[in-house]
This record gives sequence, C-alpha cells and structure tokens, in this order.
Amino acid sequence: MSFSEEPLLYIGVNLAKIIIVTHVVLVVCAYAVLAERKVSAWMQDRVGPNRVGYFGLLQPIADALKFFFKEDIVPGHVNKALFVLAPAIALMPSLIVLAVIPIAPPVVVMGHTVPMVIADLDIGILFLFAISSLAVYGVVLAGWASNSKYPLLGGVRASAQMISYELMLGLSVVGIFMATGTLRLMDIVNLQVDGVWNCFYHPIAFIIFVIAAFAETNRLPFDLPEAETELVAGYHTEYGSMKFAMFFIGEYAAMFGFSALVAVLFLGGWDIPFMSSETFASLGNWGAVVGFISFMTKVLAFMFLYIWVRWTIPRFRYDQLMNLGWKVLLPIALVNVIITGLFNLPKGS
Amino acid sequence: MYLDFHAVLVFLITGVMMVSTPMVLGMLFRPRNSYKEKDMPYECGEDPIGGAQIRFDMRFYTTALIFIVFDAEIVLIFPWAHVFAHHPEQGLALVAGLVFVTIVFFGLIYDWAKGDLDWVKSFRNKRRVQG
Repeated sequence: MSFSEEPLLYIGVNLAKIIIVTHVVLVVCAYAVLAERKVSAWMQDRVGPNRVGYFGLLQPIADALKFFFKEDIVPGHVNKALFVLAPAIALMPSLIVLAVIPIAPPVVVMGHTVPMVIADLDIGILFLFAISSLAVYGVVLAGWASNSKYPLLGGVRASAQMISYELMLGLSVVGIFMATGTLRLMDIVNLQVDGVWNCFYHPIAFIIFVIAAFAETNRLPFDLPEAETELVAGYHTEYGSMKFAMFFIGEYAAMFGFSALVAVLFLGGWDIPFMSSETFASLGNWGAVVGFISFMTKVLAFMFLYIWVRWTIPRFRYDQLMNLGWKVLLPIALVNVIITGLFNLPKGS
Repeated sequence: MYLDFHAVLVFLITGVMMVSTPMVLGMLFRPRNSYKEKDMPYECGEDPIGGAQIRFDMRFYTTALIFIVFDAEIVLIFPWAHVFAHHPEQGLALVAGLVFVTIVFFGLIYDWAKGDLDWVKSFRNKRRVQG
C-alpha cells in the first residue's frame, strides 16, 4: 500500500501506528519506574510504594503531576539555551529509534497488508545507531551548560563511557549482518521466525551487545555518570521539575529501546518457539496480536533484567570500566567478526 | 527499496510535541519563586569556589581521539559485511576482511602498548615503548 493509491487509508494507518508506539512507550516507561521501586523494595525486604492506589498502581500518575507542578528553576549561572535544549536532546533519540523497530507480524487492513513498523527502512540498523548515538549530546550539553562542577564531571564521564561502548555495540551487530546480508530489521526478524534465534547463532555477539547496552543506557553496573555517592546526581544535578523528568523518562525510554532492539536482533522479535510465519499468517490479524504480546513479553523480561542487575551488582570503578571496554570487549568483538565469517563460509562455496 | 523517511519525520514531529507540550503547558501552572540562594550552583550547601568550567582530564580527550579512529574503521566494516554476505566467492571476501581487521587489531595493540588505553597511567609501560 502506498500514498498514491489510497492516501487517506495510508495516513490513517501510519498515524495509528505512531499513536500505538508512543503510548506503549510512555505507559511502559511510567510503570517501569514503579516496577523499579517495587522490585528494589522486595530485594531489600521492604514494601515499596503502596499508598497511591491499590498496590501503588497510581504512583506514576502522582509522580507525573508532581513533576508538572514543581517550580522550574533555571539557575542564573547556566547557559540558558543549551540548558533548556539538553533534556529534549536526551529524550528525543530514544523515542525516534523506535520508529524502525518492528513490533508485530503484518496486519491486513481493508485488503492491504500493513507492516507493523512505523518506518520500514532498508538501512534500519544504521539509522538506529546513528540516532541513538546522538543521545550522548544531551548528556554532555547538560553537563557543560549547567556551569557547575558535579554536572561537568558527570557529563565528561558519560561522554567517554558512551563513545567507548558504542564501538562494541556496532561491532557485535556486524556478525548478524554478515550472516543475514540485510540491515532491514523486518528481514532479520522474519529470518529468525522461520529459523533459529540469533542469540543461538551469535552467542558472543549477544553477550557483548547486552553489556554494551547496559553501558549505553548508563545503568548499573555502569552508572558512573550519575554515581550518586560521589557526583550527587551527575549531569542532571542542576535540573528540576519537567526538565528532570525528561532525563528520567529518557533513561527509561532508552532502556525500552535497547530491550526492543535485543528482542528484535537476538531473541526473534515476535517469534514464539515452534511457530513459523505460516502459523502467524493462518491466524490472520489475531496472529499480529499474539506476535505483539510475545514481543512485549521479551521486551519487559529484558527490562526486568535491567532492574534485577541494578539492585544486585555493585558499581564498577572508572578504570575497570574503561579496561573492560577497550581491552576485553573490543578485541573479543573484532575476533568475533572473523569467527562469524569462518562459520558462514560453506553457505556460498 | 524501503525508504519510509517521511514516517520518521512525522514520528519526529510527534516526539517534539510530546517533549515540548508538558514543558510549555506547565509554565502556566508552575510557581515562580526565585531568590539568590536558589540560583547558586549546587555544591552540597557550600559556597562554590572558582568557576565550574574547569580544565578536565587529558585522558578523556585521548579516549575521544582513539574512538574517532576506531569508529571510522567500524564504519568501513559495514560495507564489507554487505559484500561478504552477497559475494559469490565468500572465501576471498573473508580474506580481504581478515586483512582489514588485522590492521585494526594492530592499531589497537599499538595503542595498548603505548599505554593510551590504560586509565591508570604507569611509567613502566611508557619506558617499554620509548626504549
């Protein structure tokens, strides 16, 4: 289906997809914060938030309202334009990245097959890395524009950490690209639905990607940019109100983005074991619903892993972080490219 | 060809609206009560001494430089991977890739031996390279 054939339907379907994705992200982000507090409470033998609504379920709404009505302090010593821009830059890339992630098998709307991805790009993975690496600007600009000592230290640390681990992130995906020969995420998922999940084909790449994803989102054990015991809050020390909320949502949106990426690249996207693409197609539009539930299950399970790790493992020292990145993961990722090449040889010859 | 960049643009605009709406709308409801102490940089209640945009550690700059070199190399691996996946003689393509990755690896080993990858600098490493 294209714009020239049925313009109204095309616009309607695309807007519907955008609305679905944005709402899913916002709801998941809001409840990930509650989940984080609940899980940490249980791990530390506490109760956690349970005052607002049954089981604390209205807590995210209370938090959002509080952010909304708080005074928005812009201190006199900051660089105003960048100070206001930085939270938006931190949040936007994590949202835009979701445009290329396929969330479910195609649905049939009025006789047209609609792929369940906002933008079906040939260069999906490249687009994804190009945009997600922009997130580092938000952090660096926030640190620099705050014109205060703790944010500057946090911002500089964050930039060095994020660019270091971006290398491993890019290299680990090269192996998948070599085996599948496509950068389009839809194709990568379809190959996994009818074949084997990539995490079994590329176990080393999977592990490297997961570690790099933790470092890219500044989550424990790699949360040195905002190490609260030494840097107060790192790059967002001077922020409050809605601007702080932007950083906060940005962190969880980035977690959601990377979880979705892990699900798509390594865990088969919407695939359910022992179901082929024919089985999904035979279910009609219910196949898309089942696929979407399967996809979200994987994403939420991976987000739970984020939270689990955060409350289990202590923080690295900065030199350990850099050593792990440059001296352990980067050589392994480079060797992995060659090993993947050797394993894929018989296919052509 | 799948080039749905117009959808990305629409999504981008949606994102900008999602970010800006709460910020702008909130301005109508938020209290404004600013005074001198609130405007000061946060340093745990102490009066700040000196400016904040200080010179920071040289090692961050070195890391950034090494990153640019390696990132450019990885960008070059992507087209090669595409060729490898579709080349009729994959063995040949793999050898070409092997040569390239080896060069990247030598670059890494050089940086390593020179001590640029060490976060905690030691004099032992420096002497070894300078002889």
